[in-house]
Amino acid sequence: MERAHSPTASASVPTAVQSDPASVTLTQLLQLVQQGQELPGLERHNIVATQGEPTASRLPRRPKPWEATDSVASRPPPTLGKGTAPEEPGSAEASAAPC
Amino acid sequence: MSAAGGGAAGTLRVPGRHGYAVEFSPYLPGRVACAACQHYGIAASSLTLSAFSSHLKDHFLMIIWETSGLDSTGPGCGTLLVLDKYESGLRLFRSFDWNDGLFDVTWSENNEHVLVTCSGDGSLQLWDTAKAAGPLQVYKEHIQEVYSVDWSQTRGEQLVVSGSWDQTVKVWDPTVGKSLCTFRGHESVIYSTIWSPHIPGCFASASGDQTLRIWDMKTTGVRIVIPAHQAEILSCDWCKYNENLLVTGAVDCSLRGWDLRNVRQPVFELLGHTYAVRRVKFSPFHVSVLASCSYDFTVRFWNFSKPDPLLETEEHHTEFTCGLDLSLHSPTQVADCAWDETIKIYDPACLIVPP
Repeated sequence: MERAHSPTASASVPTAVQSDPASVTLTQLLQLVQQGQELPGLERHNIVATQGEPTASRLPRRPKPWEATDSVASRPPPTLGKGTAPEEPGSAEASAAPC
Repeated sequence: MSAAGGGAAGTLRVPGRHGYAVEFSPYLPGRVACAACQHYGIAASSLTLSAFSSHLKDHFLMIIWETSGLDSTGPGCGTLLVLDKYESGLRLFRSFDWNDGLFDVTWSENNEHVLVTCSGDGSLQLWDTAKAAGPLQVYKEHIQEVYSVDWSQTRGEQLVVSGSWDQTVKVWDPTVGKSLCTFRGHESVIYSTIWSPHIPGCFASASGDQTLRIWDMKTTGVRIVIPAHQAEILSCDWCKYNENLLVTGAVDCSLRGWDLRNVRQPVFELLGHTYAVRRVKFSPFHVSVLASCSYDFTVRFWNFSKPDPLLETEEHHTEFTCGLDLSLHSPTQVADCAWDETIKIYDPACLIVPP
């Protein structure tokens, strides 16, 4: 297809609303970069991994919404291949049960 | 927490941070993680700027890229934001900084505290929301920006897949410090990598080389190559109710559905976005519903089985809308984030009335 929309002037470059003093619009930022100026408020960190262990999980895994109507556990998992799903895409609405 | 579906839209403003990705917690209703960058992620990576130019075909951005002095300014940082939706609005629960911009985030499927992000410096980070400091681990193997990360939703399989601008996909066991395997074949940057929700060890990737590829851990090679668009493909996702159906979103502004049993033609095409489609997600609840967000600032909801598929266009952002997710707990709840420094959680009308 043709591109539905192609900007023709810099005026059409989307810019953020300037609503916070700490914010720099995308256009302003690009201008600063082009001029080789220091970007305002640029944060530099030297963060390293703490090498800690994750906090122990206390919650059980919740079934996914699509597993609620699917007895996945009671049948072998599907394998990637042709013709494994009888259902036609687009007619899937007829049933909430996958394949 | 009282977070749950329903109620008015909530907005969290994050000054100086530009959202790239959002994901709902699979455990806690109304909890959302957002991967964000300082300065639009542009300072995070000089290469990122070239992507915007190619996505937008915009001479203004291209000029800036060619004359950029980013090397002297160094990288901007990234931030992982974890927030909760309450009746009264959105509240920040935790925020973690990283040295470089964060481009994507995925929640663990076996620990409610754990998430993984990926960043402009080529690394993945493992975080624990119960701890104030982080990350716990950093995995550095990719040699360029890592743009996508996804934790397998297949039962009993705790694997993370990452896609990078170094044109490789890597699969990780987060308990192991090294990747399990590396997948090569894409001929340009990789923007999106997503596990099949049904087929163990199977994932899809979308690339600037204009192909969608299906990979299988068991064969450590590509299974299917689909020339899905004649433009860069920025996003892909698997249908939750048809194991053979995927969708792609591309710089040509279109979304296309693909049936893996016959990939010669798309099974649907959804038109309406006016700039590149940045991200697309199938509904976890509705069989034929999906949502997409775009550089045209909008989020659109679609029912691909209908003759008139566009259900709703959400226009509540004022900048590029990059992150999008649909709740696993509420059939109506949606989260998105944009470069207007806001994260929103809301219930679009088209999902409140069953599509």
